[in-house]
Amino acid sequence: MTADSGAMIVTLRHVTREYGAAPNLVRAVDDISLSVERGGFVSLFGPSGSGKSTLLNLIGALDRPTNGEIELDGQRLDLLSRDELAQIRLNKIGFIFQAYNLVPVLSAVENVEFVMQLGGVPQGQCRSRAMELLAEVGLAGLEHRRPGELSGGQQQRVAVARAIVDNPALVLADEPTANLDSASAHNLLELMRDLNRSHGVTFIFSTHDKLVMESARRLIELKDGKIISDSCQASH
Amino acid sequence: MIDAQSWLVLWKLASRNVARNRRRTALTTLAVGLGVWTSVALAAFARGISGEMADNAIYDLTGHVQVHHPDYPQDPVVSNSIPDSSAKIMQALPPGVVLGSAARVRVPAVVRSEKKATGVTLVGIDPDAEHGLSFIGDGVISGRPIEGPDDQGIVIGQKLAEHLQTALGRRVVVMSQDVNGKLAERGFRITGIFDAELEATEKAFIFCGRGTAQQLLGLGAQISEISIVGQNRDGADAIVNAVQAAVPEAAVRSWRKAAPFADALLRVQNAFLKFWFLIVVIAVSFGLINTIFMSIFERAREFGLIQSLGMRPHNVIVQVALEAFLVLLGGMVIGNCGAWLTVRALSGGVDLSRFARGMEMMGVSRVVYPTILARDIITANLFVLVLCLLGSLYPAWKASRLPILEALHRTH
Ligand SMILES: Nc1ncnc2c1ncn2[C@@H]1O[C@H](COP(=O)(O)OP(=O)(O)OP(=O)(O)O)[C@@H](O)[C@H]1O
Ligand SMILES: [Mg+2]
Repeated sequence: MTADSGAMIVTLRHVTREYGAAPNLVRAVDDISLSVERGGFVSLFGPSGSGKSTLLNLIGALDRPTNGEIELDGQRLDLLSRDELAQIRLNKIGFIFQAYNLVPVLSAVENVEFVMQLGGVPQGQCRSRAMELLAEVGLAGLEHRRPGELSGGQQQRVAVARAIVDNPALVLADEPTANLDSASAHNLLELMRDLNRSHGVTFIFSTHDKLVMESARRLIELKDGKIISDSCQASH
Repeated sequence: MIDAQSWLVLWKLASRNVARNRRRTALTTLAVGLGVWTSVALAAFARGISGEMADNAIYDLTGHVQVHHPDYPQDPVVSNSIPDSSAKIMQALPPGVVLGSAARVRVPAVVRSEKKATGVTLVGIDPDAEHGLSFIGDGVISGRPIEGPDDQGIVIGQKLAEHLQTALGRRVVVMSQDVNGKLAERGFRITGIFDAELEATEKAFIFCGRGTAQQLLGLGAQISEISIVGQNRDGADAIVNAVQAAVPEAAVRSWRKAAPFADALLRVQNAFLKFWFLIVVIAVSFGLINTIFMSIFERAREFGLIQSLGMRPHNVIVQVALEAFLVLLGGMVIGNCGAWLTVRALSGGVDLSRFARGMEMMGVSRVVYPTILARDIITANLFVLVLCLLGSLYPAWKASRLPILEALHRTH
């Protein structure tokens, strides 16, 4: 964990995130220090309310810690402005949320293109790259459907394609399989692991699902905002 | 700041979101359209009334441009006369600029019947020159009109005839001062009675042949005024300059100076219309801002999502403003077309005779022709576009400041 920070995609030092004030103060993340290596495939698990989402949001520059520092790909997030954080999210992070990941007025391929276009990639390139990736996540032929015309699992695959499309340093997924049946969940996990291997993208995801946990190479268990175990397991 | 690619994305998001809730978009567009429509149509109606009023003042022996002795405007007496330089003036003006000019004798006088006497303005005219220039050249007359400069009869207004308790064919005496300051007096037979648009005009003027008047007043070939009518009111200032150059010794003035009341009313109206546009636009913008807030609230999660994906806050503002812009554009098209159709449908004139008694006092005709001015269309549309866009920036700014996480956790 204390290795050269160049090998680490994200490093947290004594990070605390509190909600509310005095009598009702909740410490959702409590003095966590943690590093994740490049190319990692990390699962956060723990009971409801243990701070998984809060931790992912902090790493993903969607939230700011009450105390402590977060370094993402060599950059201190706590020192950045709103605009700069948006830029970090655009360039370095891919998000997969539990549900409603997609912009409803955009088709599948447009949703994938969206982040490239915001990053100023020329239209021709955006389209071909998005089509390629959608084929890779198994959605060939469905590119022009709107989210409302896709199943939950298909929507999550679009979200995965979008998360990795502009080669982010890190993909964060908060319970990506929670709304899926077990077969779809299994397929999505396979897909994420394949992409982790083939593209070398770092994944950090939270889950309740034993099956999902098992596919992770590193398991971090949270309870009451603290890390209570952190272990590596042989990948399958 | 925003590159071409981002514009493309923003445009796509904005246009699709506008098309999303068709009912709401249609209602908002209609509200904007109604605002533009009432603004432009009301302006056209007001312009019709005031234009008519100004034209009536001009038709009332004023003309677009007047030439006088320098002292005549302050003291319109017989001795402040000028030679008839009509020919010289017409030569100095480029062809087509003016419709015509009329030289007149115009002096204060008293007219007396057997029963009553009253102060009037005696106008000696050449009827041929007055056609199309003033009401007396075209006016409705019972009896016969003045037939030439040396006509010996007199034509008075309907109301004046009633007031003097006299009638066609009866005699009246006209008294004035001649050029030497002596009393000039002459009996006339009433050969015609005119009916003017305004009662005040019928009471104010009596007409005789110009030569007859010159003889009565000892004027020789001198006259009191030359009245020139151009193509329209706005061309008057150019004519003033050209005429002044041709007759530098005379006082040349446009209708704006000669009929200051009409001019002042037009100016007040300009200010009033701007004020009216402002009121309408404020009402419309409140509706628009409210609608935008509703639509932002419903889509809070989406705003959270696109920002979590890395859309910058100012792009969110631009997206919402673009949505407002699309609605405004649609509303402006509807409003302007509606106004144009309304004015076209009323191009035959709106009959105000039911209200004419009150209106006539202000110099307004019984029939009003709505007139759309380019400046009113531009002002009304600019007001709507600029003020409503500015108004939309507030909800847009709010949307860009929605806390991302809170927005993401909103359930549908
Ligand atoms: N916006 C907030 N305001 C107040 N308290 C919050 C807020 N968000 C989270 N919390 C609290 O912080 C703690 C951690 O919440 P968090 O959502 O991170 O848990 P979690 O591990 O993701 O739970 P779950 O498995 O149910 O998703 C909880 O006690 C929660 O009530
Ligand atoms: Mg959670």
